[in-house]
Amino acid sequence: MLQYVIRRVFIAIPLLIVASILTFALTTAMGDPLADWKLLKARTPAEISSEYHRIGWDRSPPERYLDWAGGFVTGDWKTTIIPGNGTQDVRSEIGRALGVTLQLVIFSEVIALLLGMAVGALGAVRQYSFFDYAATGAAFFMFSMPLFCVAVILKFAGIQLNNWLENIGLGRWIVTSGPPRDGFSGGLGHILYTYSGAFILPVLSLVAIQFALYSRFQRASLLDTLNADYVRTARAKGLTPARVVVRHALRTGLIPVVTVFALDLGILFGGAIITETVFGWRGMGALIVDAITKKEPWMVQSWMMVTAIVIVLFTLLADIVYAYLDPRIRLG
Amino acid sequence: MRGSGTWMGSPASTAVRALALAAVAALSLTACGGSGGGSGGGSGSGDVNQGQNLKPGAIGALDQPFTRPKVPDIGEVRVAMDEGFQDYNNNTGAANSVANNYLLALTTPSPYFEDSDFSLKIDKDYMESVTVKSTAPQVIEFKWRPDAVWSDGAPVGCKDMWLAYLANANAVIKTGVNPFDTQGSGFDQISKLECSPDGKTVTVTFAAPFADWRGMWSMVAQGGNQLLPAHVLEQKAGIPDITKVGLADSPELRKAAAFYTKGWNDFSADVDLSAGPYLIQSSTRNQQAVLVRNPKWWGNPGGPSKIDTQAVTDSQAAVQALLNKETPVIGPQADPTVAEQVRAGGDFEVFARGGQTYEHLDFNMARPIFRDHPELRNAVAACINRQDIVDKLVKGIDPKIKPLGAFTINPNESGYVDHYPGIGTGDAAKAKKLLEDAGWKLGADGVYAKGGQRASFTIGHKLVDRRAQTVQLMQASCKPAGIAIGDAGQESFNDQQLPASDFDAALFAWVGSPIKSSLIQNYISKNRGGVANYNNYSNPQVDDLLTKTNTELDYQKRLALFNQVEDLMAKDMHSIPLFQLIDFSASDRAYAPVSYLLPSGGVLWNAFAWTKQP
Repeated sequence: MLQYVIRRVFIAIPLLIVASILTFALTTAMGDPLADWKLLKARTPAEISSEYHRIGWDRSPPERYLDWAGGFVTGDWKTTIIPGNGTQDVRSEIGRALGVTLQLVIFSEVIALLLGMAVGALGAVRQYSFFDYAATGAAFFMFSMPLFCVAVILKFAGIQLNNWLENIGLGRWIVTSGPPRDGFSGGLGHILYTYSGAFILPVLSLVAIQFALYSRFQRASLLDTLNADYVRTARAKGLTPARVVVRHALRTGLIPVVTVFALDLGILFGGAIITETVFGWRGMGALIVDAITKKEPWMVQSWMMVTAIVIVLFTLLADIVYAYLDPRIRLG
Repeated sequence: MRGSGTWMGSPASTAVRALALAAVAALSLTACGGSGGGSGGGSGSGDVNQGQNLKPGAIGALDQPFTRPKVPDIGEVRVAMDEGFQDYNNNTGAANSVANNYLLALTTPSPYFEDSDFSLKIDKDYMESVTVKSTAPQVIEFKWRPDAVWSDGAPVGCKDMWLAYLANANAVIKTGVNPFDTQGSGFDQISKLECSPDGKTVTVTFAAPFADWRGMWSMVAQGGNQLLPAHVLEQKAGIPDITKVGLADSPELRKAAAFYTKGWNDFSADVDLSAGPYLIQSSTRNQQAVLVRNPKWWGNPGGPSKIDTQAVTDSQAAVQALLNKETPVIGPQADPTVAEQVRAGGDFEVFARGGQTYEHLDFNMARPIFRDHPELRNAVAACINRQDIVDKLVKGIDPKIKPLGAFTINPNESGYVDHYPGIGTGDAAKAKKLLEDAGWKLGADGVYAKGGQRASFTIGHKLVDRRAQTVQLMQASCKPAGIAIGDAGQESFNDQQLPASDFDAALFAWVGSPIKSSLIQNYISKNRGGVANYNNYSNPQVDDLLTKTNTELDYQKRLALFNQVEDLMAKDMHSIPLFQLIDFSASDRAYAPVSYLLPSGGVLWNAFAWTKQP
């Protein structure tokens, strides 16, 4: 297992180098980072060349790439450089944004996965039952809903709920914009109230979509497994239906779900862009939109690399979990 | 990004950038989706609607005063803004952003205050007086109040003004790049800056008259004019007395520049002091910043005891936060849908008023179609329907908005005259007559032509929905007049085609200002400094008059000069003013007076005066 992990990590290195070159090419193609600045007012040639020198754009793209790559590996991810954006440390900003996104994604993904697994498995075990039809209908309904519509509907529902809660003297619980502002101040009850009020809408909107995905994969995968020979054998041996499903079928039937979960989680670490935008959480999604809009090359470049690394890591994690779930899969 | 660039709409976007955005699935969020203010919301000055003193040029004359009102404590107020606070020193080119000004307007000392009618008033909370001592040479005396201090107790005065002078007029600028990375106007025309022994009286002598001197050292002008606590720089950079550092290049000057450009970045409570009614307590860059009352503030304390500002970039999200009563004051990007939602929400007040930014259609005067055919320019001006454009595209935000009648003076400012009455009324018959009188013949294709020149041109613009719709409306109203208009909208228009004058006609917006000199470069001939004169307009009379406005110290005469310029430009019809973009804010009805003003603070510009109904 250790050898496998080491080999995968080594394979990932050239993959990440290629990814970094591609992202650098894309970032460079965003155009002249000083285009807007030069048009704001008349500038002397000396000013312009000095500004290019300041941001390092007087060097060739390969030089810039090597400089950035060296810095990225050693922890110097550079700063924002476009006039008007200030000088912001890229690494600390991505770290901060990743922290914000993590809070959202972990809650949402865990809930969505557990719910999706349970509903999918039950749907497979009770195929063509009322529950199965209802779960299938709900999943397809959620699939067909654009995330921003789900988010906006949830917001207005939250506002109405708040109005009702206020009318009965319970105050306004649900927050539609941003994470809790005051940190962990106050008693446990206050913290729970504050955090649940801030998290419930963005988490629900993510869960609604992700749950639909996981439940469908779980159902399909478990149905395949339930019809497999070894499951039939287990049944023939007289094992209880619950033991057959939970102990034998579900474990193998989890593999596709784990794949989707790992890939999704990796992608979501790159930012639940729509959810973050609609609910005012300034995480990875908001960060990349902002960085691209402001044409900040190092922020965009480092963000893409972090996202690539996270996706590679989660893919590796998924492979390792396969081996645990199905010993037939050999990692060697 | 509201008003942070020279023109509105997010600047420079390439197709690649759009692709990159698409690659991260930045999908459009717009598909699912009380009566207007307009009085300026009041500022507590008691003279909101009075115009600027029209004779400040007279020796000893004073502009009108402004003092912050006495208001009750209304506790904490949460505010959502379209962009968050980033850097304390907003003077440097690297940091300069209108979003910083939102907060800095409440923390920074400033001789002048921009009131809701865009007039500049002497801020009597800071100044004992600002006096024009002489006009030839121009000498201005600034007398700071003795009790005006920074939040660490150090006096506000000469040192702070000297630092700004040094940053904007040091000798290095003449030979290379300004080490202070700042470009305030007028400082290079100062011949002498003298301080009284107590540092509270500063006398400034100009080598050449500078009409916009009120913007200097004031928060009414962006970029280079923000006063910073010079004593902090002295301590941190190891400079005993900043006023002893001359304009010539020296190690001391370089040390000062090094701290100036790096020491006040982002936010740090120990060096980022306040001398306003509020001080910044904390800041999470571009996300959230908290203002609390400045305990050292000597004037009337502001209404809110704490102002918790949050950056909410999505206008819909800001409105929903308002409707959910979690944020009682919002200053989002103006949008008809947003305005409608708030107005329909019930207990909310909308402030919507034409701001300093104005949309206009420019004819490229270097292209024969417009250079050689003034009748075509006038015919287009006749056939487009400005009122229809305003009704369909802007009235949803501000029901009182009207077609614009001047470029250099805002309809809300004193001295405004409509120079385009009866222009742009969708009068196809008049347009046809103008063309036919000049010898144009209607072709079989329904388009006029003369000497091989068809009355057909394209309008370039950045790809913004509003602009695409404006072009469609113009196309529709000019087609019956035998004028064919093509849409040449491009994402890169503002970045590439516009500055290169690569267009027949251009649709874009300029950001105006009470500091009028900033507009001159848009209209003066290129060979006389018109670096932003993209449509190649040139009229020697206009050039002379505009040059004169820069040195005319009598404000009334200056306004008259601007109106003469407007008259000439209207006759030349090189550009057609369309409408002002709308300054917009919304608030819970319990809070008042909430409005919006740029460049001085956005929705927070008068937060000190906010009150709350029980």
